[in-house]
Amino acid sequence: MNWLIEAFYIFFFPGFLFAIAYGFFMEWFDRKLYAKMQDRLGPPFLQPLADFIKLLSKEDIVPKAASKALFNYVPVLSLAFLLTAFLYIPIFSNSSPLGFNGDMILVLYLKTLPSILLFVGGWHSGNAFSSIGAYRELSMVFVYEVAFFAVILSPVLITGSWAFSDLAAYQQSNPWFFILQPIGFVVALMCLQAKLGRVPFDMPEAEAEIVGGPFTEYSGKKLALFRLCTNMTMVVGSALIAVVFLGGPSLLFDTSSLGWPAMHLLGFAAFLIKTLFVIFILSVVRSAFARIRIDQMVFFGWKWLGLLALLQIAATIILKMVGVF
Amino acid sequence: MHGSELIVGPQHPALKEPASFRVHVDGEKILSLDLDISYNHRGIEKGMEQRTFEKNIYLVERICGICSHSHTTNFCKGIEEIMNLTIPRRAQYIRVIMAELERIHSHLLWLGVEGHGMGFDTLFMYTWRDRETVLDLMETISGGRISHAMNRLGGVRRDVDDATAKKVLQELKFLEGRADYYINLVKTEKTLAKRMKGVGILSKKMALELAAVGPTARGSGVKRDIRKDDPYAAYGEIPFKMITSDSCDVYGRNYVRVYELKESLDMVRYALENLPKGDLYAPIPDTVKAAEVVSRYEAPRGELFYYIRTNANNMIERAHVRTPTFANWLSVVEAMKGMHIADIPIIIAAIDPCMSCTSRTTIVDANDRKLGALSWEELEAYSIKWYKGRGIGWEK
Amino acid sequence: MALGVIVKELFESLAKKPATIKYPFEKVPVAERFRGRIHFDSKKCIGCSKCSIVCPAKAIEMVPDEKHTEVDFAGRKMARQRIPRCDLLVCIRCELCAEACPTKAIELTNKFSGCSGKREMFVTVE
Repeated sequence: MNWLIEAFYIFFFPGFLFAIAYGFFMEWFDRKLYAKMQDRLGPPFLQPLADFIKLLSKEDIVPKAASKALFNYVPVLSLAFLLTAFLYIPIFSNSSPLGFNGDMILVLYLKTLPSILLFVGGWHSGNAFSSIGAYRELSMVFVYEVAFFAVILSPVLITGSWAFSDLAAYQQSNPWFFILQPIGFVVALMCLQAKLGRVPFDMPEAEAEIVGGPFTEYSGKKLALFRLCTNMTMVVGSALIAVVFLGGPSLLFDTSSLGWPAMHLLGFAAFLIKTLFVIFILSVVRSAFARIRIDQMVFFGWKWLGLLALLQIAATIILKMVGVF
Repeated sequence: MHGSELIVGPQHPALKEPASFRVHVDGEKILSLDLDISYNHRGIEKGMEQRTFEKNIYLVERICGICSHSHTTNFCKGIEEIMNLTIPRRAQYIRVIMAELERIHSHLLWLGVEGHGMGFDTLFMYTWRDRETVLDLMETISGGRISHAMNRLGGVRRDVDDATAKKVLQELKFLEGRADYYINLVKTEKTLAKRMKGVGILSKKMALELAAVGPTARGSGVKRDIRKDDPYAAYGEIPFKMITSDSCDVYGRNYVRVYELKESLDMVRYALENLPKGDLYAPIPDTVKAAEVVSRYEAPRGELFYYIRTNANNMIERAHVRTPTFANWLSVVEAMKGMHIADIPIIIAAIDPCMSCTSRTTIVDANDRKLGALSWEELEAYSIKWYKGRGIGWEK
Repeated sequence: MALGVIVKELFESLAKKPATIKYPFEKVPVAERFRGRIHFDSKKCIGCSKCSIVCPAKAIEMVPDEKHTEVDFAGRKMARQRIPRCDLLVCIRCELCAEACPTKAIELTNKFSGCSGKREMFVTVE
C-alpha cells in the first residue's frame, strides 16, 4: 500500500491539490490586504477561483508570429516545475514525506526555472512588448537569484546540510534564523518580491509601460496557467522563507510531547501563519512603493541586495569561526 | 546607431484615450518620438456655428470632462466681452470658486494617473478617494459632479447660499490636510523621487520656444499664468501665489501641481469668506454685433484659448478652441528624448493629456501639395492608401 | 522618515472601514441640487413646448396628447394638445427646461441609475 500513500502525498496533501487551493487562498489574501490598505473593499473570497475559471473559458489565441511549440508549452512546464518544488518543502513536520538530503538545492533550482521559461515564452511571442518584458525578466533573474541563493546559503553554512529537515531541526532547538540572520531575511523577502514581479520590481510586466510584458500575447487557458504559476511561486517562495528563516513547522514551545496528531496539526498551523505573515509583508511592500526602472533595479540589486547578502555570508563565516554557532 | 520602432497606442493601458506614439528606441533608450493625436475628431467647432449662444455653452462644456467649467467660463467670457456686459461681482466670485474646485479635482486626478503610470497604485486610490470629496462639493454647489452647468451669459445660474458655503468650508479643512499629506509624500517618498527627478527634461529655453503652457511651463521655471498675466473673473481681487519650479523635469511639474492644490484651496476659502452680495447675473442684450474676440483662461492644464467671431445674425461665424494639451504636445516630444521606455507613461502623463480635447483635422498632403478638407469617400481612399503604404493589406 | 508617511496611512486604512461601497446594494447619497432623471408633472404641464425649444441636446420632443387632458393655466381651463417626451439617452441633465417651464412642471429628480435592455428610454408626462 506504500504507493497509495505516496500518490496521496503527491496529488492531494501536501501535494498538488493543496498547493493549488492554498495558492488561490494566498492570492485572495494578498489582494484583499492590498485593497484594504488602499481603502477599498477588495475581492470576495472565491474571486481568484472565479477569475481562473473565467480565463479557462476564454478564447485562446496563438499569434501568427509566435513559435508555436515554445509558446504553448511554457506555461505548462513552469507550472509543473513549481508544483514539483512544493512537494519537497516540509509543511507539517520537520521534513517533507518525499524529502532527501539535498532537497533544498532541487527546490531552489526548480524555483528558478519558471523565470527562464517566462523569458523564453515572452521572447517567442513575436511581440515587441513581450520581447522587452522578456529581456527585463532575464536581467532581473541575474540580479535577484544571485542574492537569493547567497542568503539561503548562510543558514546552510551553520547547519552544514542541504536538507530542509536538518534546517528545521536546527531551528527547533535554536533561535529562528530571522533572528540570527536578520539581513538575510530582509534580502530574501526583497528577492521574493522581485521574483514574483510585484511593485516595486514589476518592470517585466509593468502594464502601464509595456502592456504586461511576456504575458502580452497570452490569453485564455495559457494565461490562466500563468496566473496559477504566479500563485504557486507565492506559495513556494513564502514556504521556502518560512522554513529557512522562520523555523518552518516549529513553534516557540516544544510540541513533541503532545503526540503526533497534535504535533503535526500545530506544525501545519505554524506553517500557515508564517507563510501568510510573509505574504503580509510582501503586500505592504507592494502598496508602499512606486515601480523603479530596470536600470535602477539592477543598480539597487547589485549595490544593496548583493552586497548585503555577501555581508551576511561573511558575518556567518566569521561568527562560525569564532565559535558562536 | 541602430534602433527599432515601438508603437504605443492608440490602444495601450497607459493611455486613457486614443493617441498613437511611434517611439524609436535603442534598447531601453528613446531616440525620438512621432505623434499621432487625431483619433477623436468630434467636429465641435463646426457644431458651434449652428447653435445659439446659450446652447453653445452646453456644447463647449462637453469638449472636456475634467475642465468643463473652464470651457464654459471661457466661452461666456468671450461672448460677454462682445456684448459689453459688466458681470456682477458675486457671479465672478462663484465662477472662481467653481474654477478652483475644478483645479483641485483635476490635479488630484492627475496625481493619481501619474502614480498609476509609475506603478504606485496606492497613491492612485488615495487621490481618487479624496477627489470624491471635491466632486461631492461641486455637486452640492451645482448639482452635477462633472458637468456643472453653472455658467450662463452674464453670470451664473445657481447661488452659493450660506448653508452650502458653510458645508464647503468644513470639507475644505479635510482637503487641506490631504493636500499637506500629498506635498509631504511627493517631497519625501524615495521611489517617487527616483522615477521623477531628472526624467522628462524640458529646459526653460525649450519650454518658451515650444510654447508650453500651464503647469508644464511653470515646472520649467516659466512664469506664465493667465490668472496673473491677464486677470479675469475675480482673480484680480483674490490673493494667490504663482507656483513655479526650476527643476525642469517631471518632478517640477509634480511640485507645481501639489502646491497649486494648496493655493487653490486657499483661494476657495478666501472667495467663500468674502463672497460679495448682489445679483447672480446681468441681463443680456437681445442682439449682438458682428465682432471677434480672443478669450484666454487658465484651465487646470494650462492656457485655454478661444477665438470667436460672431455675425449679425446672433450666431457664431467661426470659433476656434485651442486646448492646453494641444499646446503641450511638442514639449512631450522634446522631453522624451534620451529617456527610458519606462518613462513613456510618466512623461506623457506629466502634461495631463486630454486627447479628445486635442483632435484637429487639417489635411496637408506633402506629396500632392494640397491643403484643405476631405470628403468621406476621399478619406476612405486615403486611409486605405496609408495602411497599404505601411504594409497592412486590405483583403475582402 | 520618508517611508513612514505612506506606511502610516496604509495601516490606518487597514484598520478602518473601506471608502468604497457595494454599489448595487448600497447607494451613495446625492446632493439636494443633484440633477438626475427628468420628471414631468402631468397636472401642471400645459404643453407649451418651451422646454423643447430651449433644450440644447434636442432631447425633448413634443408629441400629441392623445387624451387631451384638461389643464389649468392662469385661471383658464384648456385641453392640452401636446406633451413633451424626453429621450433619456440624449438628455444632458442641464436643467434649462426646468428653468424655462412657465408652470414649474419639470423637475430633475435625484434618480441616477437607469439600466435598460432597450435602445430607447423615454420619459413623458405621468
